[in-house]
Amino acid sequence: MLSPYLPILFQLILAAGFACALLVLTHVFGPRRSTDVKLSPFECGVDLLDCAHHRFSVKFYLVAMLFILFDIEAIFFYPWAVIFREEISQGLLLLSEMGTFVAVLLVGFIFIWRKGVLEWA
Amino acid sequence: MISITAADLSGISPALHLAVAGIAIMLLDALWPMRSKLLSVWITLAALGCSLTTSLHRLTAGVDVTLFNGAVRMDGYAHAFSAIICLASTLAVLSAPKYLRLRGVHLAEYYALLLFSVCGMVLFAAAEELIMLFLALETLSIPVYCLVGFTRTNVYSTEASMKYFVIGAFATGFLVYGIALLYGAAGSGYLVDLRAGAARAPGLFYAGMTLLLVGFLFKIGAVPFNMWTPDAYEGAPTPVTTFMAEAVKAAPFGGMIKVLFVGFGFDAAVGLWQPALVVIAVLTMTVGNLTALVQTDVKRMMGYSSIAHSGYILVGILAASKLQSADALAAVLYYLFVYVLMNAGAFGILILFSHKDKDTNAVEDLTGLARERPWAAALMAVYMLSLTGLPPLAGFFGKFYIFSYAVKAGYVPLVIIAILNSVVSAYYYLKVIVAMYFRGPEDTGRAAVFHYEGYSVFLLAMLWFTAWGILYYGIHSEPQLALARLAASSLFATAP
Amino acid sequence: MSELAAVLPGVLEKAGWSVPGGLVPVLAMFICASIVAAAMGLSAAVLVWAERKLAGHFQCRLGPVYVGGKFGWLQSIADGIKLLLKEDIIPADADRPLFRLAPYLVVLGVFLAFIAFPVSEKLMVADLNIGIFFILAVLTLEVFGVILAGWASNNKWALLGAMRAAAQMVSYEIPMGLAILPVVVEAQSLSLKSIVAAQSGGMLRWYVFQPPFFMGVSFLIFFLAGLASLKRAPFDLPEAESELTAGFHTEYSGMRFSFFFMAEYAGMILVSGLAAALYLGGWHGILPGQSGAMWFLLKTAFLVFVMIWLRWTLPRLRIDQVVYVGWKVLTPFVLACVLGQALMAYK
Repeated sequence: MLSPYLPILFQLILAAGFACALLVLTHVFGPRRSTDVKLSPFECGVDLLDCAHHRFSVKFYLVAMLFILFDIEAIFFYPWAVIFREEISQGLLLLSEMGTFVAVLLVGFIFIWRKGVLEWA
Repeated sequence: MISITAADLSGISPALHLAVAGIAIMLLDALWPMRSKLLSVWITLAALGCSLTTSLHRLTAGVDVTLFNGAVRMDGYAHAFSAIICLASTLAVLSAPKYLRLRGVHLAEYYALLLFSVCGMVLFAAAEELIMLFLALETLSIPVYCLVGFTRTNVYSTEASMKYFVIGAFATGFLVYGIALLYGAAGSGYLVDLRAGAARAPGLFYAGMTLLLVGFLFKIGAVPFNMWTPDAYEGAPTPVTTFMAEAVKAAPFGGMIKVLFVGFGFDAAVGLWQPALVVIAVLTMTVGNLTALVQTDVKRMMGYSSIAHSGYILVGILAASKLQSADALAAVLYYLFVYVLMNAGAFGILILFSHKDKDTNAVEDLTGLARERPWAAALMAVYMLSLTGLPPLAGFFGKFYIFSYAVKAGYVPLVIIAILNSVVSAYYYLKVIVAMYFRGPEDTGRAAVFHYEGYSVFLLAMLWFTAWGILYYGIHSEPQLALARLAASSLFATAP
Repeated sequence: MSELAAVLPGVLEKAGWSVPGGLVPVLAMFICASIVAAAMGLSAAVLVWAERKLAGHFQCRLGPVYVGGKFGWLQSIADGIKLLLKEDIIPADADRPLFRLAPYLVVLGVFLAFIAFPVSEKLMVADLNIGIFFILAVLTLEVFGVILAGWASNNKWALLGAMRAAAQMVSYEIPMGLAILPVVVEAQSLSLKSIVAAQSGGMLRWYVFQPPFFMGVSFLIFFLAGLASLKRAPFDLPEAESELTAGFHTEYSGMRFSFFFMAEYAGMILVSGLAAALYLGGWHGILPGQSGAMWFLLKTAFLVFVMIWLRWTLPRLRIDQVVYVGWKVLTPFVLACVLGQALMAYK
């Protein structure tokens, strides 16, 4: 029996092929009349000032870092959620373990909240 | 089903105190930011005190428990390291409030970060399993990267933090890769099983061992993996440098000795690490001392000196591994204890004369200190002489024990090199004393001001305690050595 | 998929083609993949038409009316052909390899997610035992595509839009991922098939209607977070036309632009379908005993309609409001729902 994950590979190949095919078609049928103006970045008609790769607000980095932290925490929930009801015979053990985990997570959450990390303005 | 029991939690209570205190400080700072600063100093001191007394108590009581399915073992060795680290951190914490207040960054996060790092250190010496070892090392390192950049408006501090972080992450990469290979070779992450990998897959095993060692040597700042040390020491806020020079220095030795002795063992077949360490020790001592000679900045000089001291400690580790005697390993632990006292004191003096807008870091800045502040100069002289290794100070006994065991182990050339190095080191340590006692403003052409800006009882207590410790524990080294022996023998009980 | 592999040899025999036994599953997979691709492309086209039509009616106008006679029902096809015939422009200063790669990533993520899409008990490509987890994981590929598109374009609008998109998508990924947990606790599985199967027996057994409505609240959170991660109004500030031209895909034209477009519409179906499967009983009908793909499609269509409805009704949020809602409202609520649902299990 083939693994249930093999279709993923097929889908990947097919999707990539589908996308490639469309692009090939558009190259075949589409016109190619490039001019300097057409190839310059779009700035609402204003003349280009400089390269667009500027530094941008540190807030975006903060959100990204918070995401990584919280996403990793969130992933720990999944296996717990799957076995939670099976292991319910163990009494409050599983709940208390997750409770401790969430409590530590909450301390971090309260900390960043009160420190104003979540304020965008 | 794997579950955490109450015995596990009480077993690691030295680490748990610290983590809980760190979390409490974070919560406190979030909810009552007005009151959190001074309170967090006290919470930190209380937590460190609790851990210190618990560790000492359990060390003397001979507690030896294996926890978390064998991932952590709190035996005499782990408790001894925990005690040394908690003492070192207490000294670093005592020196912090004054400096941070002067720099306007007296924030509760400092103490929380420090506590998390110490928690990692305690677990690092207790880890019996590679993943646990890695986890503890990261818990130990990451807060320190942040602490180095704690005065974040200062470019040097930020630069140091960045350098330390990048190089530290690099070292961690080595370590993790080594762990992966060793696991592949041995088929188990437990330290006691590692040796089996040498026969099963020698290629993997030796590659893993090398990478793991490189990771450790990075952390202790041994040559040729020392390039981060001076920059990080110089750029970091001085209390953080204190912390790095003692606690962050001592802790990696805890894990390293355990991995070497318990994991790799002394068998000639797997003990290839010994000849490698001989070379590294010689390089580390010599390069550290020679580079320190030309430094004009005390913090930078202490950075190189700490590299040199890593070399001496490596000599001690080699001796202990050759002799396989608890006494020789006890000498290493004693040396670490003494080293912590000397370093904390020396940096403390620098903090004592730090000003709002300027640190007192250059050797020149201390010119004429003896005339204006005789007591402070006397304390500094004690630290410097002890670092040089002059009798009857503790630094002398530390070196004496290490070198005598090394001679007993047959490492005579190594000891000769080490003694020559000690002589060389006298030059730069005495340079500080010369500046304080035999030179005045007329020599440098500028008047040095030595007034206490921001008086701190914590700092003074720390200075007097360390000086007393250096004078007292040098001559009365027996109780300390007895404790260290207790710790060392518990490690050898598990070693092959 | 496995059903298809089972019936395929018979069909092939009837058709008179001989295929080696080993190739049958491969063929089945290929057919499935093609069906998914075709369905995705087709439904995106239908949806674009539906959205324009609905938008017209919401705004008291008609929307497309000419192409294809009545209702302008061929409008999307015409648009597709038009896009195919357009010039494919890559700006001179763009980072060419990344610029080309970005639309692929966006499309691939959504395409792959459809593998575990539970249309009915039989109609699903593969019942992965971590189905819902897999879908969330591959959907994040889209974030990479969006950031790459914005960065590679070398255009200020594009970069700003991409950063906003990334901040928004990752902020809402957390409530979205956590909102699934009450369902997982209840169903004890990450497989979408088992999750839907656990909701059989009429409308009152759907998770969304289970008192005390922890899962009902998580349904709302999931749907909102889904809207945000699709960058649909009112969370459409990454491509806010009035300030950023078109956001991260400003520089894209022709087919490459249509990839972003297709991914958005396919994403709408995906999020609606997931919400239907997780909370609204999937292929189960309103009365006990009713079931079938039709139910699932109806629920999905309804949720898609709600998405369109919201888009043409609500004004756009500001970025600070977006971050506020994601972190300070949805995340604490969803955590409470997870723990609440766990507590309920002790009854």
